[in-house]
Amino acid sequence: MFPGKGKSKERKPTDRFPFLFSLFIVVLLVIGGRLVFIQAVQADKLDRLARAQRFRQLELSPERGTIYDRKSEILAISVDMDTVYATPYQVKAPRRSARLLAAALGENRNDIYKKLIAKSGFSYIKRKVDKAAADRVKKLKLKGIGLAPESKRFYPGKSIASQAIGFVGLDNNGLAGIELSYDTYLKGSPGRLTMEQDPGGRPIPGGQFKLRPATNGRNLVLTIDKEIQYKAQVELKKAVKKSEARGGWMIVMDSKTGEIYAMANEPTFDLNKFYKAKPELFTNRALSDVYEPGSTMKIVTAAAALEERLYSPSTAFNLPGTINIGGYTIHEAHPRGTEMFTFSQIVSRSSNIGAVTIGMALGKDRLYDYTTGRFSLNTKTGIELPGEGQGCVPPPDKWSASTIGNVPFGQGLSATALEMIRTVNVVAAGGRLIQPRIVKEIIDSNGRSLAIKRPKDQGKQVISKATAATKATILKEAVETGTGQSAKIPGYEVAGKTGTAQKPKVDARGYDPGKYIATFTGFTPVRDPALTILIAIDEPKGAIYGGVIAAPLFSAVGEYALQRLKIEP
Amino acid sequence: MTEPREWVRNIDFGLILAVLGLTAFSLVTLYSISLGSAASGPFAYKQAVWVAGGLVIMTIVAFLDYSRLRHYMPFIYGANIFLLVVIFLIGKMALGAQRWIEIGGFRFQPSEFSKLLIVLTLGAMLAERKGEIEGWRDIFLAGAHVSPVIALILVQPDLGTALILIAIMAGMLIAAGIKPKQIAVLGAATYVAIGLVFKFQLLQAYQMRRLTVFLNPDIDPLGSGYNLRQSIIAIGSGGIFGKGLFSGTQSRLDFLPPAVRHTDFIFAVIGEELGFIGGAVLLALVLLLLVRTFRIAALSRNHYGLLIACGIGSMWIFQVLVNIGMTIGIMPVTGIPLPFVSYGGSSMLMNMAAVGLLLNIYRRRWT
Repeated sequence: MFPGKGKSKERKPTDRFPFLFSLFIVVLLVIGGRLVFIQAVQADKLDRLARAQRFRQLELSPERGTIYDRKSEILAISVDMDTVYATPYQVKAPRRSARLLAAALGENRNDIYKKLIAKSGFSYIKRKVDKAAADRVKKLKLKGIGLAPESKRFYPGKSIASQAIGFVGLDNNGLAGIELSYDTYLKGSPGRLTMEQDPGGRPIPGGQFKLRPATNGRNLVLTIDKEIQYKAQVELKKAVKKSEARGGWMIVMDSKTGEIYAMANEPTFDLNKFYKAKPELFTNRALSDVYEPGSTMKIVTAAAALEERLYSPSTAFNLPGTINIGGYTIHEAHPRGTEMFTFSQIVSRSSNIGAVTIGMALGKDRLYDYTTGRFSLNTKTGIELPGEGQGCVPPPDKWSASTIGNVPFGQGLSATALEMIRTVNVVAAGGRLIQPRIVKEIIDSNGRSLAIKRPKDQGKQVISKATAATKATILKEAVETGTGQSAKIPGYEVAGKTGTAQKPKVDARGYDPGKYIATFTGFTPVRDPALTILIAIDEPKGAIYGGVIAAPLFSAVGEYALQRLKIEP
Repeated sequence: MTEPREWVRNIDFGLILAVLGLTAFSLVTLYSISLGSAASGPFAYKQAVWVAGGLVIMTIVAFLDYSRLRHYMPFIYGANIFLLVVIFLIGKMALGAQRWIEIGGFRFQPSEFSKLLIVLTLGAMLAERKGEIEGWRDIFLAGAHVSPVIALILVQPDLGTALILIAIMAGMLIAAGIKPKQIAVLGAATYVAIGLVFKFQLLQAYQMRRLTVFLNPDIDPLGSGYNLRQSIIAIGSGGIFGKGLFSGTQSRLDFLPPAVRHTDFIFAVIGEELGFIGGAVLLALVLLLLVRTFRIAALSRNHYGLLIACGIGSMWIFQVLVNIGMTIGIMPVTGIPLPFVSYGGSSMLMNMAAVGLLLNIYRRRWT
């Protein structure tokens, strides 16, 4: 353009130096400033990062405790399985690896592929696979694919006492049943291994190495007897099927100690495949569902009257076919004319009108007092299982004019099966209220048995021994000549009470026509009771009466249990 | 011939002090690394050999008359192109690039020498103008002079060295007297060019990733961002006083990858073990090096010496900026060594030869 001659001034050769040099100074200042920022301001944070990536903490998972039945049969146990995982950034040829893994594990190829290309340092391919599958994966020798031992819960009894035992999740935490309520005992506490290591995960020679071993979970011995439980489930299933019922539940209890031998629900599920079952099957209805106890309640009404010395077993009543209380007409289950009943017969033949007559003689305050205060019908039993329901007995000041016409034979109040069996068992246990329980022993990893706290008022005398004995005789009569005849066990004396309760409508007042819960609750042998059993069949079709549907189960399961427990007649 | 005392006075001891200080950093750090992990070779000893060899070359170069190099300009330029072409015929692959030629068991990286050769030939060309470069024509000629060399280096591919060549050219053009307006226009053009490179993805995917990952290393902490992240952790965890020599956990435990911690990421080791204090001392030495370099440029008896000194100074400051800047996350990750500190024979010999040239210019400032 213009080769500068006269136009531009003669420039000094160094006149651009200040510019160049200031550029260099700026560079040094920027670097220095940045160094101040990361080495002073952020130093602590970055130091923590440096430590964090150098120290690796491995959690050592404890072995979950085993659950045994009372005869040391295994109900739940942890077995070692292998878990297949990937370190995605180490995986070479993810498509090929996915194809091979899919074949070895029987999983979907695309699902595995997605896990292999995940933007993370770790992803599970399949957890808890069996040994054969683990060996197949091992043989593939794929880069970035690893196997880690992980324990899996195994339930050898499959559907034995499913609702009571419960199950654990993928991370071995209890989700239901005793697995949930005793989770803190069963799971133990994890250990920790702290290692200083290089980026390849290799421990550094001479580096820090700290090991705190895991404490294994405690073992649990339940009061359940696997064989009695099995028998109960088989019989219950048969009965439910035969009566085309919605379901049923059953409790077999030691009359003296309250130890639960069996707690069955039908329908049920395989604990090893709980994830395939409908969640509503997980409910332990024997202790969670509240329902009207029906005629079984007559045991309470009659016992109260005896204890209060209002009547003797032979007191005669002239009972009409119907009775009008507070504007409602009370009927008998089986219509009849006016008839003579003894006090005993009111119970054994299950007369509603008789029960109301006795109830009115007691009065609502005394009836309420016996039902709740002595027989504890509105208190949870406090059994060591989750999800226990609580029945409801309305207080006397809430009673309408007709309530006294309902409560004496078991309507207008509710209870769980467990509350009910505790109540009936008062008669079997000589007037004492026994706490039902399902945990027999907690054993720590050293084999020592841990003391279990028991409630102080265990076995509190709520009615006199004499009243209980009289009552037992009446209930024996109910089985021998009354409504519960099919509960008889050859060679043994059986006492018990049938019940056929109507189910209230789900979202309206009144009862749902045609929907019943048929029950039988009883004990044997009468003179020295060993077993108390409750059976409930939910919504049976055809014959709906507890004496027809439920009572035969007492006979079948009771006879088996008596022999197994070697109980003399 | 000069008296002995005058002979001594003609040595720039400040420059030599800066260079020896930086090489001391290099040797101590490399020794520390080699103690730390079995994965490292005997870098400290090898580097010491290169320093010794470099000092010999420095001395030889210091006693030649640099002014005469002007006359060999076409020959030097031809040699430069020849070396770069030879790489393609007998070069060795390393880390995905063809940068090395092997001569008698030694591996040379000709692109390192290219930088100094360009300083010499471009300086000769601009010196013709006697500091009166004003028109665009001279700027284009300078560009045309450097472009073939840049092109040959880019195809290796060695983006870092190519960028250094551009920096050298920029520094020398500024020193040669281009106008502020022209600087602004060229700056804008560079900006647009960078924009086009990114827009049309003219670089290899790995280069793009490395160039951009420094903006947010956490987007890929196990991939491209790994070195950078570990480097910042190393420097930051060093704090003010450092973890002490031979005690840097990041460098000794291979969190800083062994492949780069003695070369491109050596400043991370220094930052971790010697802390901010160590880094500041190193930067002070760099400042001393540059002050002496520009003092020599200013004292040069002719334009050629001035331009050579400015070219060398520009090269060093750019390498310091990009290398240290990369380890602290303010510059893209490109494989540029830290002058006199990073391990590497070619780099050390070239830099020592550059010091020799500066001493030469200083010595002949009167004649």
